[in-house]
Amino acid sequence: MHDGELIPSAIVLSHEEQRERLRDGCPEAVPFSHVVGDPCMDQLHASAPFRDAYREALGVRAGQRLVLLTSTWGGRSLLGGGPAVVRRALAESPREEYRFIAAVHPNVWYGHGGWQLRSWLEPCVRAGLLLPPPATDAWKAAICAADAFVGDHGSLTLYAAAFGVPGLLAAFDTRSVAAGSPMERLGAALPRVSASRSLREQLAEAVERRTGDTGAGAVAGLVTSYPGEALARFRRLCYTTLGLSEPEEPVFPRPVELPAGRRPAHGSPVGEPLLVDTEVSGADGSRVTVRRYPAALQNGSGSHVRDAHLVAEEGEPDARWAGVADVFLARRGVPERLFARYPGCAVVAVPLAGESCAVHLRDGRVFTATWARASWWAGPGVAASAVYAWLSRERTGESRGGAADLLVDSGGAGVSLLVMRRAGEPAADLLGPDAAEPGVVPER
Amino acid sequence: MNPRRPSPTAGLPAQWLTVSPERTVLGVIHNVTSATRLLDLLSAFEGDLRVQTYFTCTDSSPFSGGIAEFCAERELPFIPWAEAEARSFDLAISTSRGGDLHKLSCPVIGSPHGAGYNKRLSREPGAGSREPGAGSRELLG
Repeated sequence: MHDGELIPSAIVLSHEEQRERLRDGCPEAVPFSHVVGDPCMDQLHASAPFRDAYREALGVRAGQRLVLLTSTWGGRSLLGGGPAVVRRALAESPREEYRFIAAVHPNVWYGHGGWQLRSWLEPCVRAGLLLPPPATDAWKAAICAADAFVGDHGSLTLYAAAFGVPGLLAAFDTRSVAAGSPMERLGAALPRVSASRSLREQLAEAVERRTGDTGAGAVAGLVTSYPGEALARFRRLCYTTLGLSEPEEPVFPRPVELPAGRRPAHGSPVGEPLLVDTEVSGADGSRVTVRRYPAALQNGSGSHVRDAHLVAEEGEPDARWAGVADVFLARRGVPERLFARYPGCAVVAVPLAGESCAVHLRDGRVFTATWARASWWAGPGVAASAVYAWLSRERTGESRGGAADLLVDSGGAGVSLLVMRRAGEPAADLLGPDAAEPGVVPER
Repeated sequence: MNPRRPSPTAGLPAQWLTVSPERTVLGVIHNVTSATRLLDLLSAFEGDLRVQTYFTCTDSSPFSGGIAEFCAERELPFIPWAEAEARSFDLAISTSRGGDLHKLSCPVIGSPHGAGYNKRLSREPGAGSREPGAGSRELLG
């Protein structure tokens, strides 16, 4: 409000519950309100499949637990009055078992100066604390990667809890939290850090409690009324206001970039979907040329593509590609999960050491594809497509059964790819260990 | 382009431009926190050459540090607030309620920059004209 006059022409809300509070407090604003959902929550869910990649990028080793310390700004925040909780967390936790990351509100960084914050926390950073700079999405990656959090009344705490991460409150400024808000409920639901007991013990209890806990779980339903749709709904609102037709391309949440430092040149954890054209030649059909094109930029079927299949990576955020992919590149070795989720997928390739891969077929057969030598383009993706092309020939009876030594051309001179049928693959449980993973979005 | 509209790329004569957008959007930055959410939202316009986005800063947040670096690093087409007030846009998007938003002549879409609306009132000085204790109006903050 400005002098009793409503400023925004449209007020974007993330949950219907907010409209009810608006109705109570400022009814004249209700007609201008639009519930679109929460784009950040959507992005966290789109990032969930890449939990392992974020953990690796943050330097979390196998068997280690990652604890996210979140602080909003102000004297009553987690960092308000000093980093006692941060120091304690590091002091009480064996370095080989725990890793800590502090996500600190930009207003703390800019209110005191980045140098000052780093200087204050330097003893903790020396002890292993990760302190990503503000104005990056590192905190979102950290929420995806975390095993537990210690937080306060800031939004990050709410996002972490809503994402399913178990946690504790080290501070909570009840006075600054709106009555009836999700944050107020979270404050009532989460346990406070006790000064008299081991923090490790309290974190372990929080992790255990998660399964039976309903308090923090109920908050998850209050963060967004339209899971997955916030950007699309926001875009509709903008284009309506602009008087323009919306672009034909759908808009959807994309996974958070990998935190800087240990990421490849392109920050996205998911590779672009590829339209892969293959050409099998040679007297015995053992020469395979693989040409891969960005699927999203194809306009109809151009003459550059003759015999193509679509390859997508597990976690592909664009449902259009995920739904029609012939080949999925899995992130972990549970192909059944992808076969179950995507009925159109014929092949799941699981990367192996040395840029090779295991190629799983829907009927249960498994082939291993091993490169004879390294080449910059000879990776699991090209291997999977070469095997796919070879198997397509096999299906029509033109190729020999269980093994082949393929000569694959892609980015350069041919590299030999040895394909072997693997015997006696045990059938994995359809609901594998991933089923209960925190933050994995249920099928929409 | 509708000739009745001000040139979307006002300030630069048309002959110097490469693209002729049909609409202009103003992204309103308050501080770095709200700016990160603003950019998340503006991904809604990716790939659309009909829309040119400019950025400005309300100069109203006590946490103005880092804004210049934020804009420079991301190469945001930035214009000063006074110029934003004087120029016409088709839409402004603001992820904070602070500053003189009412002086913009275009429609303003206001969005939260955190997880919805959870604060009783903004404790950030200069973040608006709300009265302390006006908890009922928190949703506009």
